[in-house]
Amino acid sequence: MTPADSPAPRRRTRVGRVLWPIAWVLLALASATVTYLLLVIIGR
Amino acid sequence: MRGRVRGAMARRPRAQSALAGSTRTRRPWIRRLLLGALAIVLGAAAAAGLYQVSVQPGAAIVKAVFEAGSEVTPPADYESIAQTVTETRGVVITAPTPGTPDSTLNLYAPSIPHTGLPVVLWIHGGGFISSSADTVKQYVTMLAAQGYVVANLDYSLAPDARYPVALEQANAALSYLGTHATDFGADPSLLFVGGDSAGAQIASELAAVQTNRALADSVGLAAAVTPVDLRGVVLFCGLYDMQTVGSIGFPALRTYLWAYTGARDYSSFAAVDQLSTTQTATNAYPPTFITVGDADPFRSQADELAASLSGRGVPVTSLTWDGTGDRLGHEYQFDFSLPEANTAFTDTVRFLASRSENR
Repeated sequence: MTPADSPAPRRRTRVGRVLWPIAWVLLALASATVTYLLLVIIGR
Repeated sequence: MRGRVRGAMARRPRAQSALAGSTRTRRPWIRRLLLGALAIVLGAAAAAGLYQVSVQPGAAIVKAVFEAGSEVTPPADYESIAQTVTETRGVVITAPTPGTPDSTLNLYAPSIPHTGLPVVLWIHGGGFISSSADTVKQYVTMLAAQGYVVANLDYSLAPDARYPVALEQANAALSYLGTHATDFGADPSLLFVGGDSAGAQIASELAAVQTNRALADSVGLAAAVTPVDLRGVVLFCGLYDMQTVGSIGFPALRTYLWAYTGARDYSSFAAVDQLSTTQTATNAYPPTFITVGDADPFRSQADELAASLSGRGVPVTSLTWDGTGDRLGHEYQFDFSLPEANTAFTDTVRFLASRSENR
């Protein structure tokens, strides 16, 4: 069995399907938090 | 033979997936990057929308930051000073206006028997939305040790209690002190009001209410004491002009004033001019001691009030600083590790003493 026959790439894809949306949500939350804090501090 | 067939079958899907992979490998990354950018934009847009709609989250954040640390760094001998002072906590002050919540006073006085001491009503800072009387407890204890009865006001905070609730409560507290001064060994004709930061704004307006009938009427208050009994005002790093304060760059100022006035744009608040002591002070305004740090964004506010009062013939004692390398920030007066804070304390006591003697 060569490395290409390994099921590992498919497993990463499945994990990626779950992790990427989580990453986007976290990114949105981080963006919202930073933006909100900046607005409060700057006061505009 | 069987093995070859199996090998061929195994290889064919792999070749297909390699072909399919060549088209997929680029697209998912582009898609992911685009979705990531979209997430950032949506998050920022949601935050901007929330910031325009409600002051509550911002006020809660600022309140948490404010209350994370004590405001006073006392001198090394504070404990021995505190032993000479008696604390009476939780004197309930009922405001005459229906619906205005009660406030409380914590009283600090020299432990030795005394009569006829001057009284200082102190109003703490915290951007109208945070902190409590106890954040300045050490400072008022030190003042009391100098021979004063200091009444430390715990007023209702914004945004739950909006303007002029805190001012009404301060006025009711001043009225109480004028009426009950002799009960705790003080002289009702030797009254002072003072405060720091937002508390300085409230204190400055409270003094204006006592000496400007038109202002008192417009706020809906009656003067708590006769002007002659209000011997002086002590103001630390406050805001006194709502028309100019927006340009000084003090962090989160909009959140403070939105919470306090209830107006998202405080400059459009119907009663905003009442908060500008630079405008409401009259020539009957009490003699005033003003101090601010050279690195405090409110420096210009102190200068404006000093100029305004002086222009009306009000005696002003001003303690400002130059050449410290901008070390004296907001509320430097409470950091007794700074020699300048010790000087400010000495000058404050000197001002109070001079105004107490000059009957």
